[in-house]
Amino acid sequence: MIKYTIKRLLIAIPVFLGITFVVFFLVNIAPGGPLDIMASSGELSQSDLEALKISLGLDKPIIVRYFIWLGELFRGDLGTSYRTSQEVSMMIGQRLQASLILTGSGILMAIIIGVPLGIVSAYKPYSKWDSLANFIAFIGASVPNFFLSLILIYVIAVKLSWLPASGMYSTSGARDLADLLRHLILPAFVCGIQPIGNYIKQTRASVMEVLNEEYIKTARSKGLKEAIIVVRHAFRNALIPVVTSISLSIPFLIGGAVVTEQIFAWPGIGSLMVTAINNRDYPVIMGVTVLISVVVLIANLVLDLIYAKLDPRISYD
Amino acid sequence: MKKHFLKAVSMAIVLAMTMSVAMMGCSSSETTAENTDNSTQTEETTESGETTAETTDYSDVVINYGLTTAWDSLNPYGSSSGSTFNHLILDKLYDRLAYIEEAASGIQPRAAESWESSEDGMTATFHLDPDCKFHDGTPVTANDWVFTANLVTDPDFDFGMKSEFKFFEGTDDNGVATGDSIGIEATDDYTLVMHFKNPTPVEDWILLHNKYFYVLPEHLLGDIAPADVNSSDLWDNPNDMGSGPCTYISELSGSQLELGSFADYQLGAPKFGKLVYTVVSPSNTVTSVMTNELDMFFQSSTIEDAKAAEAAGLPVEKSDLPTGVAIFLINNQNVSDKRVRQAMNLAIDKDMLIKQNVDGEGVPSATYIIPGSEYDAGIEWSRDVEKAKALLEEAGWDSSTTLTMAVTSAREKMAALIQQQLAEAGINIEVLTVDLATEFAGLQDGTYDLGICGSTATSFPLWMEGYYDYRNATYCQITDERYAEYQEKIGSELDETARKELVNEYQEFLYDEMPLVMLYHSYSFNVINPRMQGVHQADSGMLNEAVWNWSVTQ
Repeated sequence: MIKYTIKRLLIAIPVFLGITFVVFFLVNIAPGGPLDIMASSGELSQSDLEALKISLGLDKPIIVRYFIWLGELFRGDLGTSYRTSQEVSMMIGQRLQASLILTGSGILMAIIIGVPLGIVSAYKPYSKWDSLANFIAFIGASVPNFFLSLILIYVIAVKLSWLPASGMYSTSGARDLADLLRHLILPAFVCGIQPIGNYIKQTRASVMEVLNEEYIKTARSKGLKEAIIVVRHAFRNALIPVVTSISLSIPFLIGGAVVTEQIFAWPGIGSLMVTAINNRDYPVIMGVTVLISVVVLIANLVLDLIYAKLDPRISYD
Repeated sequence: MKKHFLKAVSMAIVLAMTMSVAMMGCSSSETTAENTDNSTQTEETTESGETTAETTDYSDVVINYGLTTAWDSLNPYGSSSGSTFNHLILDKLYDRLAYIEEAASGIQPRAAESWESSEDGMTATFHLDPDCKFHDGTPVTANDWVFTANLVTDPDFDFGMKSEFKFFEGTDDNGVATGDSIGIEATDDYTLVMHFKNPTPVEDWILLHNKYFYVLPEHLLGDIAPADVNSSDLWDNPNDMGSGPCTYISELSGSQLELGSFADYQLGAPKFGKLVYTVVSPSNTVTSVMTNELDMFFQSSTIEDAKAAEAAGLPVEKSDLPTGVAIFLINNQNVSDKRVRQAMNLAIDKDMLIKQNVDGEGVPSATYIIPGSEYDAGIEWSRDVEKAKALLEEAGWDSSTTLTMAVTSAREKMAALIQQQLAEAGINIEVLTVDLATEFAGLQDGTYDLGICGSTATSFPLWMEGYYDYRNATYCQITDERYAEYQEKIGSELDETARKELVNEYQEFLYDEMPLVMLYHSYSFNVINPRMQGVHQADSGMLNEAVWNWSVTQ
């Protein structure tokens, strides 16, 4: 296991470098650059632009810029934003917590609702519970986030005045947990609705498959309680696809919910990334890319190790 | 073993949930400064012929302001984008010499109480308000303004818009100082004198360059080498750096900014405890005003949003003048024959565009100057497809040619209409939807032939000079130097009658050359929470807002 972990970590290094190389080149060769955005105000002279080009290091070839950026990264420096002149690591640090709260709550809600509903749905197929689960899964898969967000804002915030329409905290009064939760409910629900559908479908399918296995029949013939059969024997053995599905949500957890953050004015990584892309703020784009790639690579490794724990037949030795 | 594993998983879930709740409870990690403002103000009121002193506490008043795009930097010389959103923030923290009203229709005192030009227009003198103070209480003197101008033009100081300072004596064409100091001096603590390279009426300087000239404190920055000023730790807490009407409280970069009221602001302390800027989605601006989460927002509403707001009973402020202009951009290198450009101007149905895009709230444009305003030459535009066809024939236009037009998604509808209208005259265009950076880059490098953009319009004849100046990075790839020559002549003309004649001549010239087509000037609409008083948001197009006049009715 240790050998396997070390091997995977070593493989992760060229994968990480490959990701950064590809993203850096794609971002830099995309039409329009940071200077074009600055010049679009019509206020910059050609001489201003030339001076800016040199000052930002954009006069150097892309490959040179990549290795300069990589060298700084290995020294722990993610660079400085072209637009705000702030440290990229500081900008990401300020936003990471907000993204984790929003997407973490959304995924947690999806697990709490989606997994049990998937189990019930598999245990009692074609029942009312199954129909409800299918309906929720259908809504989750088919309603676009932006549409659901706007509907919720209109009904819950504007018409009923139950919850705020945007922001993370109120601008006046105490910025406490209750205030945060009030602001969190709508965006977290929007973030969670799509994963709920995925988890229901994934859990239902894998539990259903396991329920038809011989060892389940044996357990029943031994007179075990149904709850124990379903939870301890069936669900446990159906966990691998469910865990895979949940693990696929990890990039979303870190990368933030771009649309939801924008609409609800949630100050997370997603909105930071969108702003950076629109402004062609290369250092910020690369900073967020580094963060997401590192988390995804580590999450994949952890997932593989969890597989071995969940299923003793899987061995990495 | 299995039981241990399940326990471990359960523990992990519990731990994750605990961490999540703990994180929720944490206050945000924003940088925060101690609030040094004092929102308790004493007002003189006259009642029954007697003067009394009345103290009002505004510390509980919070104004919520939405921005649809984030600001860049709280250092006034830390960003080179020229973003309106950025300058609306800087305008609160830092002071400028003068305040410009909607569409450049008037200039009001700010840090300067008055100003005058020398007879030859080579010198401008500003008489500063002696009550100006930095937020740390230090008086703002003419030396601070001189220090700032010298700092910004210093070759070692990193600022991308130095050319805004190229009008001072002692700078080169890029706005970089050529010697130890430039043409700006303090004749006493409260008199600032500017020396220009060419005759420049002081009002022209204010209308064009005042917006980029924010005063910085010499007592804090004077000992720092110009190359190190922008990276100084002092910017981590910009509270003491400014002398504007608002103090800095805290910032969550690119998301939320809290400002306070500066009790000693020379034009009066703003009547609030906090002014909170939040970056909001354009789709959520009006609804946030409806739910009282926002009091106002920038940028101006679309006509659809303004109507929705009116239907919901919210007050909608309409600008006094049509201060927005929609521009049909033509790459002058790709479309080099002016007859083709003239044909485009005649073939586009500007009335139809006004009806469709701004619900009739606009006027067709002939030139960039607001129709009917002081400098308008009175050129009449009317659609004439037959004349457009004749011009194209005369130019030998190949009707099988297809031009490429790039637009942002917000202007797709307008692009589709223009495509149909130009096709009537025999000009085929292909429309591509791209983002702003791609549109600008494509027009610059010749990938695209046409585009659409918008700008703030004024009645000032040199307002849009950058669009026509061959020395600027322009959308339209203008290399013809005659536009810049005209502008320089207008700028140097001190006699008002002669200037008007020159401006008329310039407009005729522009209408003939048609380097870009002005489509229409439209009114702007601002949705404001009914509790707000004293707001004239149309001024924000001039990158300033008289925040000291705002008040809130509870």
